[in-house]
Amino acid sequence: MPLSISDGDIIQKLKAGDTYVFKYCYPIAFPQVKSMVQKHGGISQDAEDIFQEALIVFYRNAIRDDFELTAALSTYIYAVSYRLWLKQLRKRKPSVEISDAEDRLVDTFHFELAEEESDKLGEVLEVMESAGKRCKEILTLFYFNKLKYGPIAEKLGMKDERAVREQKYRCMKRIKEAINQQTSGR
Amino acid sequence: MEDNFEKNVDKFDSEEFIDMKSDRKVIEQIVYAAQVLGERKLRSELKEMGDRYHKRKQKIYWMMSVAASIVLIVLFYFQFPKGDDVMVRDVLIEEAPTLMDSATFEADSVRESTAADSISD
Repeated sequence: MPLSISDGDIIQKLKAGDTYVFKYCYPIAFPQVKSMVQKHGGISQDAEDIFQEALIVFYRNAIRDDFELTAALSTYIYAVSYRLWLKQLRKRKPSVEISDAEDRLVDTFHFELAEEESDKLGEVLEVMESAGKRCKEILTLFYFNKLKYGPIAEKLGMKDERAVREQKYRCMKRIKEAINQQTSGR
Repeated sequence: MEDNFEKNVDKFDSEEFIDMKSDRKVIEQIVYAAQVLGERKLRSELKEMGDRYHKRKQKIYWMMSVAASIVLIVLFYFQFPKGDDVMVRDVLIEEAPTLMDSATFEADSVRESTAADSISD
């Protein structure tokens, strides 16, 4: 691994599912984020939590096809951290103002399930755990990391795209049947 | 529409598509669970990376402060204090008679002026 890496390379590696590249984000952006949080009434631990959240927001955006970085990565992470910290402050002290636009920038997690459905999450997770490590890896890489079959095959050392596709299909079928059995067994 | 679909996707995708239509809710739950698992994994990876970064930084600070302490010890305990001691000692030895003289002179002059005051009174 090189000592430094360009912003574009970081994004390319993230798109390829290499999350280890996040380690380069700490030296370039954490000191500024820590100083900002401490200036605005936070402590070191708050800065660490906010920075981690900012990296997750950055990741969710970076793996989207239409994502384009228009500033330096450190500036981007700082801006996201700043808004996240304002949101956090508003939770602690409701008098802190934050605009809707700022809210939208950091709310990028689109999975909104009904209450009843999210209650089932625990059960589904349990079924997924029992489906095996390989199934979990494939489904996670496909649905969370948004990797295509080819890169998944490369990452998991599988034969080719087709092998991944077949395995994914089998996993989905197995998990779905287990969930249906659980539901009908009640 | 159906023909295009058959052309563009393979057997497994098409089977999954049929599943998506019949069991959409279950598939959505699996997708959501996969995303939750992925995010949990990412969080734990980031936590580890963060811990490693902070530990490394602390280690660097610690090493720098040890190095700075060693430099300070060398400067203050082996250079300046020794030099100052020698200088102060030399000054005391050389100047002691003069200092003694001036102290005696001052005491004498105080005594004299007190005596002169009492006579004038």
